[in-house]
Amino acid sequence: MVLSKRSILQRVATLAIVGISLVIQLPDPSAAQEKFADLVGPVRVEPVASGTSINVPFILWGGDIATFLANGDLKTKPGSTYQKLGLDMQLQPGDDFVGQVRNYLSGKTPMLRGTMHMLGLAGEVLGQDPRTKPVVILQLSWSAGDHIVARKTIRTLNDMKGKKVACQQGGPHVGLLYDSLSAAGLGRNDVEIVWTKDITGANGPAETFRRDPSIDACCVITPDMIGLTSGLEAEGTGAEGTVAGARVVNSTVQMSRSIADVYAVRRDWYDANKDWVTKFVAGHLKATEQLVAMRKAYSESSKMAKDYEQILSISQRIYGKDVLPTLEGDVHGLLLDCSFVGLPGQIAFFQQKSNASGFDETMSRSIDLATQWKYASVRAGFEPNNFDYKDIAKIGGIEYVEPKAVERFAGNAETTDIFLDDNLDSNTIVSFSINFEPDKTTFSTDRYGPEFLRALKQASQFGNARVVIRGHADPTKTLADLVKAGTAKGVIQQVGQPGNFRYFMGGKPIDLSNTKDIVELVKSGAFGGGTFDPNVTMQAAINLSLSRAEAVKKSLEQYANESKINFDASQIVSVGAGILEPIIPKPRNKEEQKENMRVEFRIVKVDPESLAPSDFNF
Amino acid sequence: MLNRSDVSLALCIAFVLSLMLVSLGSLAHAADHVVIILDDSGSMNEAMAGNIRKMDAAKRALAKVVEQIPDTTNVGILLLNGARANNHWLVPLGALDKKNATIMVNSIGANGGTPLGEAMRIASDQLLQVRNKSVYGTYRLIVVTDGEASDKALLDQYLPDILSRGLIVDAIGVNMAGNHSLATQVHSYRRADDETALSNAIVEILAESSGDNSGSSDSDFELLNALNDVDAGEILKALAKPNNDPVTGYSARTSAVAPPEPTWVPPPPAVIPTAAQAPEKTGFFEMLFGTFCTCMLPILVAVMIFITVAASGNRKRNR
Repeated sequence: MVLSKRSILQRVATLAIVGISLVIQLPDPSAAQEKFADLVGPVRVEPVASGTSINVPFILWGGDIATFLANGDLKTKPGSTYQKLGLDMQLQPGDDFVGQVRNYLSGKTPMLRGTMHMLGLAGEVLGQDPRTKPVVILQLSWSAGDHIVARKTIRTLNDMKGKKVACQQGGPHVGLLYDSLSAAGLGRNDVEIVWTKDITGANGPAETFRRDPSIDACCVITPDMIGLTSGLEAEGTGAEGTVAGARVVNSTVQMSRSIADVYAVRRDWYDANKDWVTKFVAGHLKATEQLVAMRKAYSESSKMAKDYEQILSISQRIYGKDVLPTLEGDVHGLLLDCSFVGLPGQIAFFQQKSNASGFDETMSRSIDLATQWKYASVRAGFEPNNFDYKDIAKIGGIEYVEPKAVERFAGNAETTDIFLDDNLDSNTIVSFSINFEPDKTTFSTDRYGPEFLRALKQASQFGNARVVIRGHADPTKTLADLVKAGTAKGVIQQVGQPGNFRYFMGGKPIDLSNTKDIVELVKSGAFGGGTFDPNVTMQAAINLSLSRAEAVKKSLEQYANESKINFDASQIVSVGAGILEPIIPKPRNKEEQKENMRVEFRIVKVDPESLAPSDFNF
Repeated sequence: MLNRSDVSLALCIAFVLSLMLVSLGSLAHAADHVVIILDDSGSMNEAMAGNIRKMDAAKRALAKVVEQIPDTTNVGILLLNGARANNHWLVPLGALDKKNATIMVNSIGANGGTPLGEAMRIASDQLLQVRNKSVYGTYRLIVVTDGEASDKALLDQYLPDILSRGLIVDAIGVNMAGNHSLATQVHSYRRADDETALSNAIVEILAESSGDNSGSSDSDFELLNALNDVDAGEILKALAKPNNDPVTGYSARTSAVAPPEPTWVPPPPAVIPTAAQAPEKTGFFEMLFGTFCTCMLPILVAVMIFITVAASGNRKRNR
């Protein structure tokens, strides 16, 4: 991943949301949530203005460079893909999403350019009149350049509960924050959000976080992330502007299916101009293929071909040289932060009902966000297109390729042991548990269905992370066997009656002062052999915990198959942790004991370079 | 021709070995790893009642076990004296080629001493090497012997280390009058001549206290009442990760804390004594025999090579 100023743009515009306009119109961003309808204000719905040239919005994002390539420039250029398809359009800046919505409702443009989350926030307004209900016609990409940075008080997303988070009001990061909290089973009321006016700069979350030590985390774009931490895998030291202890706790680099960039069209215009819309999508996909090939060639050879230089230069001119100073670093970097989905991605997103990150699921999440966070008072959705992608491929002159199941993690060199070691915690993004009965490895899929569904959705959403199913065993028997072995061998002396035992070692009561001695004796084999051997029980616990993890994995796969949910089996790995990290080291009763008998689902970062390479990531 | 008691002994050994080799099941990453240490000392040549050699009974038992071992179990067979060229591995630890293993088992002779300590170190290190690659599964040493170790000092040095690694050590006494000294130190000791005791004695190792029988879970809670949470946490940390370092005997020699003198002598693990059979050999004679064998070995090998070469030459001429 390239970390560059492009992100600046990206964030600025990107999912940008309501961003600028929200900012402008919210007198006090930290105040109570304002409804999206209030931000837009009264707008009369009008038919789309007639004319040969169509106004099409764009935002600051790598995916929009494909639009420039298809169109040749802001105005459709002779010889461009769109011109050859008979289209004529004028591209217009759309980073002011509220402004976009006004233009859309009033008929100045039939199109919206945003993210699925942004459409969700505006859904109530857009759907009030059936003519303006959005039909989503194209997914450009998934984001890979937005992050949540936190202080040491937050090591995983589970630690977010009760914490204070800075986030731009109405911006693209609202969706990222919503998805991140949801992954940890948290909601809006579990955190205190400090809304900022801007996505970056003096009034952005990064500076607010830097100024106010009481703020635990912030949602930022890549340059700000680097400024706070010095890198995706780094931890701020306090030097050179970084914040001591600050590190990335979640990123769209791993949560690769959170922010979907899309184009949507008014229902009335879609129905009346299906041919135009079809050609728009076909031309865009053609340009996307060309752009991805050019980007790949440059990344591999470091030699910039003339056609690539040309489109990067056009993009630099459109966005401004102040925003994207260099072609090689900034404009190319903007493209690298963008995971294009291509033609197979359209099929996967719009047509595969088994896709846990498909249109239906993503829309549902967006509407949940809008209603739960009070941007909207009613659930108002939008519609998918009804394209025949074989026709689209033919029109665009591209090969029709259906999405194929790929085991992207199969070549991962990491062994399962790395998911047992001490680095696991620092690489964990989020986790949750399922509990079991003693010495049991079976369970009902009916009972655990909701947890399985959650796991499958997270596996899909965190498309570049590994899902580790980690079994745990209760340590009571291991400890009891240690006491039994110790007393049997005379290492420990037991005094008293059941329920009121006391233990001595070398004449001294066992307490903190001689725990170290017991540990030494354990290591020396003083408790080994005989009927009770804590080491052997521990090994049995490792095996039991693996059995649990594998049973869960098997049931998860079965559940996915029965529910017809696609998943990449190579993404999921099962490991047994034995008696490591019990919730309660010394349970006092069966209820406490059961808390230790569990299987954790952990979403764990892996090196993106280790994943199977692919031009399109869907 | 074997009589009933000889066959019975072989079956008993086979039976107990089979029970010890019960598979974990079908875990994708877990397997059972077992090293059988077979005493091939000279005393195994001795005849038991019925005029059958102990070694013949042991070989018959082992061959039967080899047939029955699940394919998922990794097995190694280590001899105390034989297979010197392969560091005493008659069958290296790994997936079992049953046909070849049976041939190898049938080829075992009985000659030499009883260097149990060294053999257990070799076997343990091999198991630990495997466990270092995959922590899952069972890791077990099964010692089949008819006598005490001739390298007792080494055994005393290595055994605590082996036990501290969490390897399971089971011993089977073959035709011994009394119990082997390992009986009170290892995880189980079975006499190969008591089938009933064997079948009753082997139980599944449970990882967790279960509250569904005889309140065992409750009694575990009572046992642990006096231990505070911090102590428990620290002890668990020491126990939780298996130690796969090679066996050196270091921990036994240098432990910072000497185990206190036992205040009482613990009862040995399940051992059901039966009527004595052949007299147990003495350590002294065994050592003497071992020394003799060691000295004579080069000569014996030379003679064997000579015979082999001569036989080979005869075969060539006969063509």
